[in-house]
Amino acid sequence: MNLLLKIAKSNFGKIVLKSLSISTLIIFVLMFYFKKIRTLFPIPEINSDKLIGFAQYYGYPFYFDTIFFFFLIFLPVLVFIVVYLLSKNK
Amino acid sequence: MKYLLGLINKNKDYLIILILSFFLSASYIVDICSGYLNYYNFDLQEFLLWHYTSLSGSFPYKDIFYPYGLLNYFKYYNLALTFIYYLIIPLLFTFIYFIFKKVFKDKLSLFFSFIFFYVFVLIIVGFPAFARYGLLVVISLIFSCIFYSNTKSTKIKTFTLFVCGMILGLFFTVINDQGAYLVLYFISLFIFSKLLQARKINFLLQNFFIQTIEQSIAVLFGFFISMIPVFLILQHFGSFYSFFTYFKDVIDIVMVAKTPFFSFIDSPANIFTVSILFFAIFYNFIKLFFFKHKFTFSSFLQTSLIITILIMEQKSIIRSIDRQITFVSLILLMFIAYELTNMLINKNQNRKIIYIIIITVATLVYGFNVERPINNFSYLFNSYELLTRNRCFDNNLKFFSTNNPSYAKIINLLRKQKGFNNKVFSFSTGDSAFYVLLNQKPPYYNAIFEGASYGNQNLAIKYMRDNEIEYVTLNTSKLSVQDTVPDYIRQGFLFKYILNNYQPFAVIGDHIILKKAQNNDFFASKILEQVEDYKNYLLDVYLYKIPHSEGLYKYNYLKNNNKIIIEGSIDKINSFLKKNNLSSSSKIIVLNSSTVNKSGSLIFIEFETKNGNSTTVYFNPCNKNEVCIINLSRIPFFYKERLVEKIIADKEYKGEIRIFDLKNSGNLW
Repeated sequence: MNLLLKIAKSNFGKIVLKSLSISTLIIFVLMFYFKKIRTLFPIPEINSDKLIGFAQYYGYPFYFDTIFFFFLIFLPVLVFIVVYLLSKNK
Repeated sequence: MKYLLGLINKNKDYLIILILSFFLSASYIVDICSGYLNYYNFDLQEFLLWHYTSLSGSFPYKDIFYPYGLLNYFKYYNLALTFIYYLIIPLLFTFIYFIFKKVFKDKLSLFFSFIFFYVFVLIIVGFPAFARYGLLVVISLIFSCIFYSNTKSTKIKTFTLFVCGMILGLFFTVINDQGAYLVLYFISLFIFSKLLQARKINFLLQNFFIQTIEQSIAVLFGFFISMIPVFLILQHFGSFYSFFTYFKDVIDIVMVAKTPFFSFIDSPANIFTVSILFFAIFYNFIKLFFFKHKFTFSSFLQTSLIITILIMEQKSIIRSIDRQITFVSLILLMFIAYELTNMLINKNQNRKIIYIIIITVATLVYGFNVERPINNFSYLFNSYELLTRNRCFDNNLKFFSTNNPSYAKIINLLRKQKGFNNKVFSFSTGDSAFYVLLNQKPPYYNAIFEGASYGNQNLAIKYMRDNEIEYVTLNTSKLSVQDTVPDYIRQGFLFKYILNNYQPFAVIGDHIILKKAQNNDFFASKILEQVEDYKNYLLDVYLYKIPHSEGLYKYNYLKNNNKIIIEGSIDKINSFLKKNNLSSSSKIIVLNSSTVNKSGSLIFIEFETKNGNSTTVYFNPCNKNEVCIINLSRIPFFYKERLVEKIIADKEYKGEIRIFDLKNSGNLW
């Protein structure tokens, strides 16, 4: 446990904690504005094969979930890189 | 003999695991024989149809067993093949133990992890889901073992890659969906291991690229070699062509099967998987790229599991399989927790206890929140007996008929009809028990998702013509499959053909029986008075975003066509309609809103015909300066040509109404 405390108190530990806090905050904000963000994506077109599923019927952007999912999953890594580079520049 | 005994003695733990899991997984027999009886109505009928077609041989390979492949198709064929299918579970557990043994260095952690994993699969995931998705996970972990041993040297053995290619090809053809994921996984792992190698050697070395090309050829060669026997089987069945066209169908199915992922993200299973994935990616990134941590075997397996989960999540994003894939996250959690406790805790004894506590607590928190799958042991002996006597199908059909007596009543009624040729067509497609009960070869694309494309709906119509179908059953209790999109919207072209060519003849239970007729008016039938709710359901048409989407993407195509009237005043439109007998045939209604509409709320437009009947269309309004397009020929009431006399628009709607005459609706829905 001492090792955990040591890591938390170290400069690196602070960067990790900062990254995770910022990521969590961004995720909450994105979830709050989820429906608004979704409307930024175009609704799907009914193609020449005239396929109608949930996405075409309710106008749910087809690739939105995939893009949003990957963004959320890799967000902590992206935030970590930014926070790390900023702390290095200081 | 001595060598064999020595080999057994050396690997006795694997043998024990294989034998133990063979007997402990016996409840899986229930699933092989009659597990699908747990499904409701349409799903149950689909399984029943698969079972029937497999036994009768009326459809070879892909046709009906999409997307589960040959392995599932043959499991009903005979007892020997059922037994081979049953072996999947014990083999998967044995391989999982093999991997665990390589990761967990102390016996306590190894046995705790394995037993815990087994109980997790038994209670939470269920054997059928494990048999399906476990194959992908176990083979991907084995590939990881092979690739990890090869990352230590710069030379990967060509023969090893050839064998990997053969395994890929075999899986791709035997279990199509898992095989496709495995190919995707293999490509990711191959690139990843190449990047790891490139860290050690000069990336620009010519040899490195030549070697990579050689290795890729070895994999591809193995892949195609292993497919040769399957191609011969396909040729024998006459399914060679359909095997390849099926990949186009898969894309179509993806287009119609997609449901929102984030609506289900708060399920316990999703939270469990996504939080582990989230942590694993962050943890491995910091460990490997920030600390330049040595790439251990455990790290390699963790990366492999992350890739596997990311691939599986893509299926979950299309259609939720959240609980089925939790066992993969559990393995990942175990590997990370074990590594972390070893890294952070000094005392050996404390490490094991803390590891056990972490896994138990994390899983129990999740485990308390999930609905358990049914593992009914009381059916075991009965199922075993049915299986050995080859009576599973008869038993399941009897179960279905007893619980759904109206199906037999309908068939009795039809058999009393003069000239009944023992063939029906059921709508919604997927109401398949009729085909089984009548011993009839079903339509090629029987499930509604695979039959959703325009081309495949036309194939269903061709089936009806070729088989001289005189009677159609309409199931009024099942109006949409799974995702609330009405079946008459999803298969609108097929539904139009049915309503225009068949007339209501009787109502039994939830079914309307239709008889072939010419120049009929479905909505004028007195029979519909018995199913008033269904009639109203077809007259109140919900199109949601379809008019918006059509307006957004296809108005340019429309605007150069024959305009009949453009008016801002609804009264002027109605006086025009009164004076001119406007036929509904080939008419397109375009609504050009002049106000900003509230998002989310639906507006309506009602159409009254000369004889005083009406139909109402509800849809999401378009924004200011956008157009919404309604194709009248897609509204059930206007499947038959009628004279439109009056239009009533929602009070919320302010703007222009344009009517077009489009003889060839072309790419419009």
